Amino acid sequence: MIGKWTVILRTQGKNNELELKNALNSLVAQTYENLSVILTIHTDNNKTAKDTLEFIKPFQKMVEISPIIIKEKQGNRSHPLNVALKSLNSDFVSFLDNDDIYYPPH
Amino acid sequence: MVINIQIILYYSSSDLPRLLKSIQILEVGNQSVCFHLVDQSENEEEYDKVLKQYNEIKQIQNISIDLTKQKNYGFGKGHNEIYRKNKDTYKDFFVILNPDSILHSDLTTNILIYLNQLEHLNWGLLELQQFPSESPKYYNPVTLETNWASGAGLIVRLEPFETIGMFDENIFMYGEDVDLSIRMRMNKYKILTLPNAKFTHLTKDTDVSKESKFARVNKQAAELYLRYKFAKDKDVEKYASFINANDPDRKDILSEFERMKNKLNKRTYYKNFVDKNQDYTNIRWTL
Repeated sequence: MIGKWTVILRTQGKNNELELKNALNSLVAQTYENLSVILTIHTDNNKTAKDTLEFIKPFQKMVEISPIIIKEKQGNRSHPLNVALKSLNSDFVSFLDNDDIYYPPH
Repeated sequence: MVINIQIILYYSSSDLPRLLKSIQILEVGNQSVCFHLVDQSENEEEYDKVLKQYNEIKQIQNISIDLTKQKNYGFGKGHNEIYRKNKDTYKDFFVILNPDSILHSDLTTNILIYLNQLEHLNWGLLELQQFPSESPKYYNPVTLETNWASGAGLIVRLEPFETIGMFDENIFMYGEDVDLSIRMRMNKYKILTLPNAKFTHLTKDTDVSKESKFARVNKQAAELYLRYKFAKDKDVEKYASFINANDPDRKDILSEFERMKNKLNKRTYYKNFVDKNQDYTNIRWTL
């Protein structure tokens, strides 16, 4: 069994669904098989958090995605990464922002 | 209206699970979508693997998937065969997709939005946008017009497809999409790229240094054949001069070219037909 790889995918503020869609589609297409995603939703807006959770539902049927909603320390971009790292149970980890993509053999 | 999607499988059992998963999360709403999966591996063991994956698919509302097998006809003839078998159930258009694809959940929704907008345009082919790497060629960002459409993800309108004589069955694989595009344009049908109708294409041959001998031989032979079919002898000779005399594949390339050339009934000079104001140059096809 190959080691587990977790991608910490970071979203902040008001989400741009088009960008997040591209990021998630690129993760779904990864050729590495044992992959999971922690999605940090860094917002104090309850509607944004709820919409994002709804938006990721179809992708959760393709790849394991664990969302974490983080409300405190708005504007601090490192904070959600530290929160996600604390909940990590994985051999490898990498980071991806919601406006970036990975190529399939990343 | 039903969206019919043809997919040829060829030793695709490693790619198929993700394609099938993506089909199951396709947002179709009230729209009916029918997938025609046809395995051309001609190998029982491979077909059994595909069949097992197929049997694991759950019933999905408004989506039907059928799986059959046929001889390995190659790409163009293979799709012609699937079309001939199913065309009575087709209306207006059908879609061709590669098996190494992952559908984006909004693909069919976006296809229908485009089709409504393009209703009065005389189009022949609409190219789906490949993700994450776009097909390496130009399209006009305003009119969406492009020189040729890749067969990896393609919408084909029935009437033009029949009018121009479907795919050229002399071509086994590679270049048949360019040929189809040229004949569409000769007959004044437009070809457009649809930037928002995206699918992930897990292309394996973007690095030419890792290209298989089969792919290289067939691609180079198609380059020669298309020049022979639509251009002058000097264009064929010029391209052939790029293939080095010491090239280990040269003999196979020329032999495949000869095979196709001998089957061709009629040469057609493209400049006698196409719009002279259009740009005919791009990375893959230069005349």
